[in-house]
Amino acid sequence: MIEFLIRKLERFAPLTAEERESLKLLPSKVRNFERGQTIAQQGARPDESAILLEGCAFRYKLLKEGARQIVSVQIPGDFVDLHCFVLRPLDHAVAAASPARVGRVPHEAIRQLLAKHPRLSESLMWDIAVDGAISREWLANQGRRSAYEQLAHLFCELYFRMDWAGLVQEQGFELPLTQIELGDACGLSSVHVNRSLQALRQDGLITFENHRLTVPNIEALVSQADFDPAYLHLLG
Amino acid sequence: MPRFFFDIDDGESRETDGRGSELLNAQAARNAAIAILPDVAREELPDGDRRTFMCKVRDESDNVIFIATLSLVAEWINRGVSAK
Repeated sequence: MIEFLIRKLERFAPLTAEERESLKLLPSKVRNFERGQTIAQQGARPDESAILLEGCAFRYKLLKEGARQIVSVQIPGDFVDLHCFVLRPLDHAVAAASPARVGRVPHEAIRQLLAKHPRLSESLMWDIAVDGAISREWLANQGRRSAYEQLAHLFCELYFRMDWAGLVQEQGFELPLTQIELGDACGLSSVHVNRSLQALRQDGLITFENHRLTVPNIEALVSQADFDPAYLHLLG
Repeated sequence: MPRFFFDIDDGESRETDGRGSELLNAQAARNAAIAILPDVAREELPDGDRRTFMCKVRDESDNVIFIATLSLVAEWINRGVSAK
């Protein structure tokens, strides 16, 4: 739902009723994707951006010999490629991690939106800047933390983002990422991910069954992960 | 894809893999067992001067099909005293 985007942008600055109405009209058409389907191709020069309305997606880069690095995870309300409004060609691909509903937003519509509501340019700039802050945190995470801490950190990040979107229920949320995808997101082998997940389970920090992650005590996970949500800039 | 189980012994504790990982075949399981050892060692070292890290691979029938070990032997030279 586009409401997830509106709720997120209001973390930065409250919106007027007119601005909210204009944002609701942004997606020109909605497309459904199956798990694993490509939403955007690396190297493409799209004249529209995509916003995730439902489901989960990730940005990734393909390396030689089929290796893949997942560089971010998108949840409902996230643009998967707002930056291609100004950055073309696209320097990464985007794939659906679960069945996903995606709204296509023509760049011309963004131009008209910003002409009508110039203040929203700061909101969208904020959204892109937060994306950059998350990338910096991922870089630090992968460079300097153990596998156990990296996974704990990733789970904390997703927990806070999902919670702020209103999508955490009974201390858990849908997390469709496989062991291999978690490995690709953290630069770890799937066997190493499996071993670290087992340790997180044994320490009572998570349960992860049937694509659902439950965190019985988020403070304990935050402490183990050395997690500080300030980089998400969602505290308002 | 077949499922393989990777039990890891870092010289101080033993972990039994209860869930396993899906891999293409036994050769891929062999490669994964070897690749996990430096990852485990990186997180455990530099504690201790003699450490052996071992990964034992079991198949779905619980047969051990492969064992890999990685050893660290570290010693002071001409120091005349214990590293302690």
